[in-house]
Amino acid sequence: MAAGEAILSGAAIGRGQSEGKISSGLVKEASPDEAVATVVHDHARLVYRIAYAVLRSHHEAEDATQETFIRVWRYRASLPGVEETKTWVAKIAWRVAVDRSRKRARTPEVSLDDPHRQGLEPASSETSADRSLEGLQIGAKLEKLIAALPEKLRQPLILSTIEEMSPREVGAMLGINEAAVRSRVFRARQILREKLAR
Amino acid sequence: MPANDWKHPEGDELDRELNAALVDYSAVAPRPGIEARVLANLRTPQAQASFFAWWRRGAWATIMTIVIMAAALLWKSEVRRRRAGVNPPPAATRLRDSSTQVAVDRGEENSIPDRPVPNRSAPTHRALHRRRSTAAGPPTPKLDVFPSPQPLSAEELALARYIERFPQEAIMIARMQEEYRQKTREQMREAGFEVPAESSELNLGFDERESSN
Repeated sequence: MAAGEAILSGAAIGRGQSEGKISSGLVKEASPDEAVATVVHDHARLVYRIAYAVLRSHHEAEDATQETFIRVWRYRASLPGVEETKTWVAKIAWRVAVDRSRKRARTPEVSLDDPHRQGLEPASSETSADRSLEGLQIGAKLEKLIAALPEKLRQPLILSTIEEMSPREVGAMLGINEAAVRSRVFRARQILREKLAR
Repeated sequence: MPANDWKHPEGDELDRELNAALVDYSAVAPRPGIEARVLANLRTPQAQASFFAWWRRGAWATIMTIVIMAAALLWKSEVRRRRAGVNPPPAATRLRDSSTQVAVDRGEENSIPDRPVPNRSAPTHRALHRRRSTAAGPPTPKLDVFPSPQPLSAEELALARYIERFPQEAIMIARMQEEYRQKTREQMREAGFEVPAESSELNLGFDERESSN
């Protein structure tokens, strides 16, 4: 089952990559405002997932998404020169989310029992409805464990959980090579596995 | 091999649970219509104002930097101008120059010799003091007699020539002057006035024996 899911995910990645190339071509030909609209249609969900992976809050993820595309609009003149629009937008989304996360860290933290958190209040009808209680508990525990990881391991792991991101794209966002991404994700998984086994 | 094997390697039960939890970690979707909301937000005046505010901030920062630099340059030039006004070319130098010119006009022998003009760009206190002292002329040697004997005036020269030519008449005139002076002093005493002590200035210093010769 895991292999099947992986195949679907791989297909999704392949489709995303080809779509990314097509949209990049459209962006280059269109006017700046039209280019921004194309980027929004193509990557809004990816941006939202990146923001949510960092901020763990639907409201903040949507705010971060809005801010990301405001920045995209601000730099719309440089869109035709961007080779990979998807990686470029993902990088902006990542920086916005990390900045918000750091600002939030300076203010009182949101309780883990917040009803808006994942698992207790689904964001949309696409969220799985047949999640077992054990899965929810593991998910809550996993959040704490991931938050406790060192940043060098946490960041590539978080990005790797996003379906659309390949190791090359994760490396481009973090400024490291693909091999470093794989090794850090592997190391992070080992730590999580050890802690979950206790 | 699927591209996602690096994220979800197959293993034991724990690995599968971890894989499932990691997939769910970011498997969320936004509320429907997020694209429309984002585009609508981009078209709002607030979103555009935030962009222009950013641009305006940059422009204001540039303008303020230019203004501050201009003010610093103006202040610097003002300080330099005031320094030049506070420390003008020393007055001693001007005095020396003028006295040199007067001496040249008179043809006097003891004119101040020419000196090389010092650098006036940064006059120091010591240099200023040195210039002032030299501007008054070369120091005169100390004399045994005080006050220093001065050459006779024209009237004194005429009196000396009369005495030399007519000594008897000069003595007679001097006696008559003395008698008159004594009579005046007696009259002042009689009138009750205080008469000051006699001054040695009235003593002409002539001797009858010399005059007879």
